[in-house]
Amino acid sequence: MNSSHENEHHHKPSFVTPVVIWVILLALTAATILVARVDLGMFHFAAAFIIASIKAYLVMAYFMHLKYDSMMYTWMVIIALGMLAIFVILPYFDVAYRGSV
Amino acid sequence: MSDTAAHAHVHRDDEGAKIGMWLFLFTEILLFGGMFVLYGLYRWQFPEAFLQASHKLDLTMGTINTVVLLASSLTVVLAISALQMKKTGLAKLLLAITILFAAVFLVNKYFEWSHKFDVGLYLGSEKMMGLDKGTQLFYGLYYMMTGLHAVHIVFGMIVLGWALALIHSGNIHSTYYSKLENAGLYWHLVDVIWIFLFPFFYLI
Repeated sequence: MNSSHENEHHHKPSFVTPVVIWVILLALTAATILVARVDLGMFHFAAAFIIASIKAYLVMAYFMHLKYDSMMYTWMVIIALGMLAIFVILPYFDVAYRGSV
Repeated sequence: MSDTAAHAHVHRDDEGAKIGMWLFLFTEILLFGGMFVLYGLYRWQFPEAFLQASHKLDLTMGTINTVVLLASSLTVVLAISALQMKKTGLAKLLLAITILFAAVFLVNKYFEWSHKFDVGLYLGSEKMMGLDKGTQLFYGLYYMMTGLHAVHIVFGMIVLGWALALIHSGNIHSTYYSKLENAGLYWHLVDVIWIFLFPFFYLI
């Protein structure tokens, strides 16, 4: 967060980029619905999750400005999501090795 | 500019405000994260029930709401750009459209839920209690997670309305718009959460 980055105007306001990102987001929404109709077996959920993650990345990078802001914000988000990932994955080490309840 | 002179005496820390907003958003991510953990674990236990119940949700409604929320995220971004370009009228119009989209989302949700209620599929209903455990859990999570998300939409409408009022009164303007940006951050997070809720409930 150097003083040179504190100026809010280092990124030129534009109408074009957000609209392009929005069109990509709509295309990905269509893609996720189409992919859901195909039988991918065990990759069914993975495909939905990956497309959702790409959409979330686009919203956070462009609409939430992470791409244009100081890297500090990106690191904050990475750490927060890393904590969430631990929180989400860890219970499976219990559940996966347990009989059905 | 008189603005510069006035601001010399006013405490202003846009960067600090933005960090604060992000920290708040992390608590929101954890709030929904807890529910996603529960969703994941029950889905692991009852894959077939979740699959069957998911097919009974209204995909058309879910898709329309996804498109509406994505459009509302776009209009917030465009509103900030318009304000930066000193197009105050356009910024206000775009924010008003955003709030309208939020209302459309809630109206859709109302119809979607009331249809489910009409066929007796609400929590604790006779029909619901007669269903198998996995299906009951799916609907429990569905109502809880999309319901909490809808509460966030209502709160977002209030925050965006507040930002709109501040633009109208001149308290948010082309060189001072961190409140609008932070309101926008909140709104985008509500969109990001829906981006995951939509495939997890409607498309699995």
